[in-house]
This record gives sequence, structure tokens and C-alpha cells, in this order.
Amino acid sequence: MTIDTFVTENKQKDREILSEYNLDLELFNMMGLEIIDIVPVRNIFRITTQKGMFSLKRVIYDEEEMNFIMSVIEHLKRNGFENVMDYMAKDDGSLFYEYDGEKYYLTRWVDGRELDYQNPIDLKSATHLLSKFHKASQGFDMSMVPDSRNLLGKWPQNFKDRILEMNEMKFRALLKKGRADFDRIYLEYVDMCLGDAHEALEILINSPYEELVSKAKEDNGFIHHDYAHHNLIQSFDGKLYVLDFDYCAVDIRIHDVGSLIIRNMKKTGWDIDKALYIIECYDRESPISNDELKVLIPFFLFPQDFWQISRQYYIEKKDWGDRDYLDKMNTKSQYTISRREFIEEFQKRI
Amino acid sequence: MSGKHGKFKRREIRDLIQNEYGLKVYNMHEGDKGILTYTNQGDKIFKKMKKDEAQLLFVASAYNHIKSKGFKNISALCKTLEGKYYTKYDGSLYVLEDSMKGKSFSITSEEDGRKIGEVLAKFHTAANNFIPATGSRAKVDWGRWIDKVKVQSVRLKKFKEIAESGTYSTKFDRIFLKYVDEYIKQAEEAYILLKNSGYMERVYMAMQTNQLCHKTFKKHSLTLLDDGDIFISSLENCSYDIIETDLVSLLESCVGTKSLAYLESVLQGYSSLKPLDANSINIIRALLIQPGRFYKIVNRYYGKKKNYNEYELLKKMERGIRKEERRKEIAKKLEEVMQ
Repeated sequence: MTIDTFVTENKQKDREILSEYNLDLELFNMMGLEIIDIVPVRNIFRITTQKGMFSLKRVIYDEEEMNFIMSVIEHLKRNGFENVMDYMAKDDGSLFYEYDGEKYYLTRWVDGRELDYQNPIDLKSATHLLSKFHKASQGFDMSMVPDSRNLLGKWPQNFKDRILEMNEMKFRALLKKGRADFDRIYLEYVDMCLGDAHEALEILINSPYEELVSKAKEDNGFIHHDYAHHNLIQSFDGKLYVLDFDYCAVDIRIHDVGSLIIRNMKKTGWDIDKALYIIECYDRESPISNDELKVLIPFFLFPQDFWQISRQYYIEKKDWGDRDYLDKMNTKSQYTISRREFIEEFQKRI
Repeated sequence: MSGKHGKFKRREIRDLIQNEYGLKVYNMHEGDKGILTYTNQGDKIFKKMKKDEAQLLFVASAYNHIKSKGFKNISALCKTLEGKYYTKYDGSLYVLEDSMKGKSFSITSEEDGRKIGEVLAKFHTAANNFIPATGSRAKVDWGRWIDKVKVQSVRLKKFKEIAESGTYSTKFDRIFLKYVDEYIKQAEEAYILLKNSGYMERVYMAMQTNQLCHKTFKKHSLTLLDDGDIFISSLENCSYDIIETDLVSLLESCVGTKSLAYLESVLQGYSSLKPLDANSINIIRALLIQPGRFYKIVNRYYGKKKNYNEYELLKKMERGIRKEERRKEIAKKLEEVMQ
């Protein structure tokens, strides 16, 4: 058996997104830009023009979601959160350029470096900024929130749906003739992961989750929902920027904190001290309640990664190649073990 | 041409360089670092880079910054006629870097030690306050070591469990088990040393001043010129980091068993321009004793289920252990120097 808690970045997804851009000269003519250079950077294109440098992004959601995301950014700015990029509006005030059935928008390019969560100083800055983000998100007009973006109170149902899916995928794997390595690893771990998922659901139901949801409904805030290191840029004059609001949603703020912790755990083999460091950093800016800490336990316990990679293989059938799937599956299933030890320690410490 | 650039034809390379850079190529031959090219504007090295455009721009602007701060004996990347720092060939990026005639540098006397120490200190002074050109992708290594050594000790312990639980043990397992306890101890010692030596304060200071480091300040990047000056090249791995990491590379590469006696002179040379305190020395010691090489190899064997050749990996581990032992000797000498 191998253990590997390290994750290689998922560049495949970025490549898929970039391949769907239609970089026709006509699009840039519509924008009034003369292109000097175009460089792919993660899932966007950095374009150098006679008017300076911009990020070009293709809109991957429907109009309702698009309006939601724009209003989220406006709301943050109104509440004094200046750490977002400037969107380049057209003369008529609108943001989007429609070309060949697709919508694109531009933001001003900010030169800087991505934050590095392995650097405790960067991690502290990121955590502080997250608490600032959550504070500024409060008081949002909830009539702007599409159903698909409202996750408040939905955790138990999500857990149940995912358990069902894991069971369904288990049967698919069992019924498969000539099982691949991926199937074998899936079947080796699925019962353990289902056990964890059921336990997580039970803990969640008996936790103060509903109280947190009620409180969040009063605050009317939202979460970033993709607070990865590459979505945080520090300019060389020291200013921090949060990028990519594509996954923004309404939910309890501990969702973002929990995700930030999990992101960090993957690279450090579920280091409890680092998890507590993140909590302390956030707590210093905006206190975290005991109820919130309790809700983190089922959040950590649910085998989200295992469910996700299996789903991509059995249901979404993404064309990644067997080797990629196998590496990912190996990685994700392995941290089920380390994660259990971590949760035990986390329960003791909090 | 033979060797690793064998797939290229001499004429193709010559035409590529002449057309892209507007240079007259007189002759070429293959060297360790790339294809040595003699041109009407001096000697150049033409080499393949495993980096993207934005990363190369970072490297190019690092060269330019250091030169602009008055540090003359450093290489640079040539610009193409289109104003780019690279040229594309067969789907890969290539750069043309300035080169100088001379011998590979090594420390054979106290004077050599002092001299290279001074050169590194001057390099660090020039590499301070570095802001790369717009559009660069910065390489940043600040503050990573605490996590790194912690992960090393945790995972080496897990690998040990795996090696001990196997139904039959391989030669790799046996050698691994012979050394693993010692290296776990070293990783833990390095962790404590870093924690107690103000490592994070150093990182914070380096972040405030945008300190750039060479990151491969080793023999192959240092050329001893005929006039006795030292020419620095191969900045392609440069990154934002603390200066102590470059001192570790220098000591590891240039201070062999025979020249261990000159270690103090390197530190004296550096300190004469940029004073090093006890914390710096302890950070260097920590970085020397952390078993990074050993960890990297055994992580491939026990940690990642990737394809590898067991025999080659075994040989690598044996080499890695020898290097770890040498690093330990340097760390020990440093401790003596401190006392």
C-alpha cells in the first residue's frame, strides 16, 4: 500500500476551459484593443494591448448567475473591500462582450505573485483577508441569489445525495466486467468512505449546524467558495487581491474556513498545528464560535475528494486518461486514513 | 551534433540563432550547459529551458536588475530581434545566455573562500529590492522550510511503517531502514533549529526587501576568469528566498572534504560585507542537516506509485546518502566554527 497526501494541481480543468475560448481578432476589435501578446495563465488569458494588460475571461454561467457574481463584487466594494480587480466596463456601462454565442469580460491585470500557503506569513495574510471578505459580504441583497448559488441549510441533503451516488458508483464498479485499476482502488476504499460519510451525516445532524444557518440568514453574507492560493495575488507594492468569484455562493462562512484548512492539509499530511494556526489567524480578526468549530468536524470527515474523483470517472466520464485518474484516485483515497487521525486530534484539541 | 542536442542539425541551430538574434555565428560545440556558440558579439550558450514565457521573463529581469545595481560579472539573456528573451523551436523554449571563458571555480585556499564569500554578499546586495518586469511569473520560496522539514519527519515515519510491514523486504527497504531513524532525527532537529533561530523573522525581512536569491550558487554557475574575477551564470532557478539558502548551496558545492578547512573563510568573506549572525549560521546548519535528498528519493519509492526503475532508485538512494553524510560534515564544521 502506498500513502500520498500530496496533490498535483489539476491543470486538465484549466486546459479544458482555455480550449473553449474563441480568440478571434473580431472579438478584440469589438473591445477596441490591438493585441500585442496573449498568454494563458491558469484558466484565463493575459492580453497585452496598446492600452495595457488585461485578464480576459469567458463567462461560464447563465445570466442570472452572472448578475449575481457582478452584484457580489459591487457589494464588496461598497462595503469597503478594495481587494478586488477593476472590471473594465464598456462605454454603455455594461461589462460583457458577446461573440460567437459566448460572453467575455476584461479586468485590469495586476502584476504580482500568487500567495503561497506553505509560507506561514502568506497564509496569515490570506486568512485575515478571508475574514475581512466575510465581514464585507454581510448585508447582501438576497433577492439577487439564484437557487443554484444558495447552499444555506443544504449540507445534510448534499451529504445524503453524495452517499447515494457513492453507492450507485459502487454497484457500477462491482458489475463491471474486466475491472480497471481505478475500479479496484475504488472498491478497496468505498466502504470505508461510505462509513465516514454516514458518520459525517450523523454528526452534522446532531451538531449546531441549523443554528449557524439561522444566524447566517440574519447576516445575509456570502462565501468565496474557491479560496485557493492562486486566487490571491499580492502586487509588488504589497496590496492583496482576491480573484475569481465564479464559485461564489451563499453559505455559512465556516465553509470557506474549512475549505482553506483542507487545502492546506493535503500538502502537509493533515498537520493539526497548521489547521489550528488558520483558525487562530481567522479568530483574531473575527472570532470563530464553538458551534462553528463543531460543524467543521463533519465537514472534514465527509470524503468529498473521494466522491468527486469517483463522480468524474463513473458519472461525468471526463476524458482524462487512465493514468491521471489512477494517480488522483490513489491520492484522494489515501488521505482518508490520515484524515481520520487528524479529526480525532482535532476533536480533542477544540 | 551528438549528445543530448543530437536531434538538432548544426545548420538549423546556426540559422535559428542568426535569424532570431541577428548574430553572426562563427562556430558551435556542445558543452555541459548547452550548445556553446561563438558569435560576433561574444560567446553564448544556447540552451533549452523547461519554463514558460512568464517564468523566463522573471529570470531575464533578474539578470537585468542585478546588472543595473552595478554587479558586472554576471551573465544575461540575449534578446531576439523581436525583443523576446527566448526563441521557440520544436515546441520548446530556448534562451541564448552570455558566456565567458574560464575555469570552473573551486576553493583551494583561504583566499578563494574569502573571495567567493564576498562575491555572494555583493550578489545578494545587488539582488535586493527586486521587482520583476510586468508579465513575469515570480518564483517564490519564502517561508517553506518549516512545513517541508515537518512533512519530512512525519512521512519518513510512515514510510518506515510501510517498510517494516512488508511481507518480504527488498534491498531498498533494508538500506532505507538502516538510515531512516537517523534522518527522522535530523529532520526533527532541523525543525527545532529553524523554529529557534528566527527563521520566520528572516523570511519576513526578506519579504519586506524583495530579496532575490540565485538558488544554484554552485560550481557550475561560477566561472573563474583569467583576471581572477568570478563570473556568475545559470540564474534560471533564481527565486525570492532568504540569503542563507544560497550559502547552503555554496558550501555544499564548493566546500568538499578537502576544503572543509576553508569554510570559515567563506563565512568571513561574506560577513565582511554582509554580517552573518548566530541565527543565520543555525539556519544554514538546519538546511544542511534536513534530509531532503534522501526524502525525495524514498518518497518516490514509498510515497508515489509512479513508474520507477528500482535498481536506479537504489543507486540514487546510495548516492543521496553519501551526499547527506557530506552535508552533515559541513554542518558539524559550522558548529565548530560557531564555538
